[in-house]
Amino acid sequence: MLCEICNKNEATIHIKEMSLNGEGKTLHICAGCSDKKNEFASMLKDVNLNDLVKQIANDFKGLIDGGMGGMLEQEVAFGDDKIDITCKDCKWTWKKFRKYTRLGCPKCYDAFEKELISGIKSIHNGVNHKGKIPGERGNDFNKKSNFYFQLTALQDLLKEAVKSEDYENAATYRDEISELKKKLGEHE
Amino acid sequence: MNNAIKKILNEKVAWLADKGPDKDIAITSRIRLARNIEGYSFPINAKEESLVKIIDTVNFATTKTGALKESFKIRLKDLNPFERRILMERRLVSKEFISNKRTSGIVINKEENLSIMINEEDHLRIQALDSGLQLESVWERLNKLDNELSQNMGFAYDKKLGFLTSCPTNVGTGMRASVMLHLPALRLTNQVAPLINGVKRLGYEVRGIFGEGSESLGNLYQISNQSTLGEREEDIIFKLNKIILKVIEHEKDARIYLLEKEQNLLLDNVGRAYGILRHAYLLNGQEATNSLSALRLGVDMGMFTTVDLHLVNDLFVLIQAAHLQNYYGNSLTQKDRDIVRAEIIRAKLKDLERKRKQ
Repeated sequence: MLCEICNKNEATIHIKEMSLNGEGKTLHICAGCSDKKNEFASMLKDVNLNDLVKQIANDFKGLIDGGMGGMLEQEVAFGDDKIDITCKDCKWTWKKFRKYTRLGCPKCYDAFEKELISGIKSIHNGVNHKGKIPGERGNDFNKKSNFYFQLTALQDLLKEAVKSEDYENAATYRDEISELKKKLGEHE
Repeated sequence: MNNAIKKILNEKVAWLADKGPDKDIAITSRIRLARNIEGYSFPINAKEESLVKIIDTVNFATTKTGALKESFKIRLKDLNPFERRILMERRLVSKEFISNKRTSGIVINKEENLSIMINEEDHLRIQALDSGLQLESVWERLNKLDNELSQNMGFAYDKKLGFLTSCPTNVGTGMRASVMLHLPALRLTNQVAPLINGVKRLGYEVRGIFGEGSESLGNLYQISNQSTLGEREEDIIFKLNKIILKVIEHEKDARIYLLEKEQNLLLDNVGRAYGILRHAYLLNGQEATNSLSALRLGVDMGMFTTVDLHLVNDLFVLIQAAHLQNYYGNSLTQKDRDIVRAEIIRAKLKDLERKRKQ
């Protein structure tokens, strides 16, 4: 068949596009147009990619809370550089922080608390530490709560997969869930 | 040469995938933790005596751990530029670290898969690596070391903000988890740029290993988490793992697509690369890296009977500047490096051919 772009050469490259609602579309182009219209191809891939993003984002609904994708430039995130505060412990100033994007000492987090909070909010997925405490061992308790989190996550994924009729992934998730439940049973 | 560096050069680089899950696409899994010792300023603001005390504190604490009891303990100032580059090329230290003018050090285990950079951006940057996609087991090793270290030093920590770090981008868990991926088929099918954008929009950082932005040398990309605060360490790893698996899936689909619909493109890509590597006499780093990427793809797709992943991995490390110099035994100009680089590769490939004929 002829290339769909130039309608002159034989189409040797066939790019298949699948959208989320199941519609398939194949673009048939020749090597010449493929090279020349790389931006066209990648635009198409952008369309493909929006679906990919939607798909991945769906998988993670509920798992990613709050955090916006992509990090803001530190200058934007941390705002005003005309503020004049100094950390009384180490003498580091807010101006220095803005210049080097480094703080002077752990106590700077207290000294610059108000100014830092909005930046921290935009960079991270939360403003409160949920991770380990110094010296906390990876003990049995942690392992168990880990399983529960994964179980909830997988159950979410399973529900979404079934809803979007993605039965292949649904089966994988279902198997992973029964694996986990078995492991949980061993831990109780 | 510094004794420790000499010994390090004799070891095989542990984080290059010869084995490990999904090793053909996921090359290395790496997790690092940023930690600081309470009562001291961060390195950028600390006095020299403090920096020395910090190194001593860390070195002492490592003697009380399981994994780093026997380890190389090196002061950066004892290394010349060549020796520093060796460490960087083996990805044991960062680029920032080796240009550090202030007192800093590094602790490395024999297997080169566990290390601590002292006084880089934070007092401690603890890092564990392994080949393939193995974030959970890497975390287990790293977590254990972190716990053992904290028995002999007080980490700067806040109940609300977690581990306090020099830069607020690391506060909280202080954890940066990343996986290095080889994505040649996605590039050949023009899907890299949109994929990178997609992953970035989900809140993950994507970086070319040797280049900047979306055009990466050797089709190698590193995907890592951006947020370090507001979730548990295990959750960061769990989610990153899922993203990586999806990306791997797409690379695999692209490879199948090439095999089924663009076989000549694939064969041409691999064949040309092999031709260049086998016969070139002048090879710059860029061309060598890109050709090795195609070679690796060919090996993954079973196109070779003698070239194996082991060789490709060795070559990836060997073609870097300081490693070339080490191989040659003398300092090299840029042009000489291009000659030696081509020589090593030609020799190793010729050697394989000879073995095959026997």
